[in-house]
Amino acid sequence: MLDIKNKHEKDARRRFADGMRDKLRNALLPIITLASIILIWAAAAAATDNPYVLPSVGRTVKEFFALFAYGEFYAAVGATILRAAAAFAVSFVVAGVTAFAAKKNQIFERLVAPLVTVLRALPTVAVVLLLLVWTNSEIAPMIVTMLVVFPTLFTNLENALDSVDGELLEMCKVYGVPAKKVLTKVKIPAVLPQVTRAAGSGLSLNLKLMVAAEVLSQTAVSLGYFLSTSKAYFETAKMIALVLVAVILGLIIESVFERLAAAAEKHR
Amino acid sequence: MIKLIDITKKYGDKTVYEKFNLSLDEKKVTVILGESGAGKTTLLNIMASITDFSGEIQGLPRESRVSFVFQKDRLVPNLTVRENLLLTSENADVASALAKTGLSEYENKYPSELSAGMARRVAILRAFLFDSPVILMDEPFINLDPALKYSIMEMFLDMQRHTGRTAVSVTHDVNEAVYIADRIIVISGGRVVYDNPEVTEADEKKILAVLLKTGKTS
Repeated sequence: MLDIKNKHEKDARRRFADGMRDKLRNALLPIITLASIILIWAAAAAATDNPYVLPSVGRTVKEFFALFAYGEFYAAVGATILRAAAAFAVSFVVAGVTAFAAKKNQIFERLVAPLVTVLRALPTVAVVLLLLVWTNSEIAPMIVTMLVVFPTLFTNLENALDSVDGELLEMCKVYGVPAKKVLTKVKIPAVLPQVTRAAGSGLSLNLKLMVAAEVLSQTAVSLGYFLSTSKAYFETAKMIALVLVAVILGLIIESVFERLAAAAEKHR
Repeated sequence: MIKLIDITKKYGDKTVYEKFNLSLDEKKVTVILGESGAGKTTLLNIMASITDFSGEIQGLPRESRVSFVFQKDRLVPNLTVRENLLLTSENADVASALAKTGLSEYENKYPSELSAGMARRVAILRAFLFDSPVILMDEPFINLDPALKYSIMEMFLDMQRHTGRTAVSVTHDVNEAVYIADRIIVISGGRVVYDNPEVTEADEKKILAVLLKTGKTS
C-alpha cells in the first residue's frame, strides 16, 4: 500500500518537473533567438562602425522611443492602420461571400478558381505602379492590399466553412431544428475559430503590405511615407525603428486574434 | 402501427430493398439484427427521411418528427448539456428530465467534459425529450464497456416503459437485442428472414443460428 502511495507521489513529482521543464523551455527558446539576433546585429554594427549603414542597437532603441514624441507619428500610424483595416474589411467581406457561394455552387467555384490563382500570382509592386497611373496615392495602396490579401482570405474562409460537422447538421435536420438556430448555435460557432484566425493573419499581412504600398505610392500621412522620408535623409536608425513598429503592430494583431480564436474553440 | 409499404432503396446499381414491407408495433421495442451491409441503418434512415427511397410509410409523419440516437452521440460541442437538449426540444423541462435520469450535475457541462457513458445518456435523453411518436436507434450501445452498457440499457428501458414510446433499434449484438427487445427481426438480402414478436432469453441461441446462416455475426 505504502509502495503504491510512494509510486503515485513519484509519478506526480515527475509530471510536475516535466511540465515545469517544458514551460521553461517554451519561454527560453524565443528569448534565446531574440538575444542571438540582437547579438549578431550589435556585432555587425560594431564591425561596420557606420550608423548610416547599420546603426547600433542602442541608437535604434533610442530612435524607437523618440518616435512616440512626434504627433505626426501617431497620425501616420493611425492612418495606416485605418487604411489597412478598411481595405481588409472589404477584402474579408468579399472573400467571405465568394467562399460561401463557391461552397454552395460548384460552377461558381470553378469560375472563381482562375481569378484566385491570378490574384495569388500578382506582383504587388507592379500593380501598385499601375494603380498609381489609374488612381491616386491614397487609393492605390488600399486596392493593392485588397487584391493581394483576397486569395489567402478566400482559401482560409473556404476551409473554415468545411469545418462544419455534417453529422451535426444531419442531427439538426432529423430533429427539425430551425435554420436560424442551426446557423447561430451550430454553424457559426463551428467556423468562428478558423475565421478569427484567418482574420488575424489576413489583417497582419494587410498591414505589412499597406506599409510597402505606401512607400511606393508616397501616400501622405502614412507609416510608409515616414519610412520614405527617413530613407531620403539617411536616418537608418529611424527606418529600423519604424520597421519595428510595423512588426510589433502585426504581432499585436495576430496575438489578439489568436486569443479570440482560442476563446471561440474552448469547448470544441 | 407503423407500416413500411413497398419500400425500394438503391445505392447506384446496388439494390438494398426491393418492395420491402414491414409492420412495427407501437409502444414496443423492436430490434433489427442482420449482417454488415444488410441495410439496417438504411432502414432507419428511410424512416427518418434522411435518405431518398420509393414506397410509403404509414403511421409516421414524413418530415422531421422522429427521434434518432446515432452511433456517435452527435452533441453540439459548444453547447452545454442543457443547451444541447433545448436545441432539439425548445420547451422541454430539461432540469426535471436531468434530475429523473440522475444527470443533474452535468447540466452545465460541455460534451468534451463528459465521459463516453454520460454523453450516451444525454443522447438517449435528447431522443426521449423530443416530441415524436418513434425513437430510432442506430447501434446505440456500441463501444461501451459491459457494465456501463447494461446500466445505459436499463436507463433506456426505464424511460421507454414510462413514456410508452415506440422504439426501433438496429444492432449486431444478439445479447443486447435480447436484453432490450420486445420483438426481434433479422434482415438479410433486403428481406425479413426471422421475426420473433415475443422475445425471451431462451431465443438467443435460435437467433444466433439464424444470423450464422445469413452470414457474419458479432
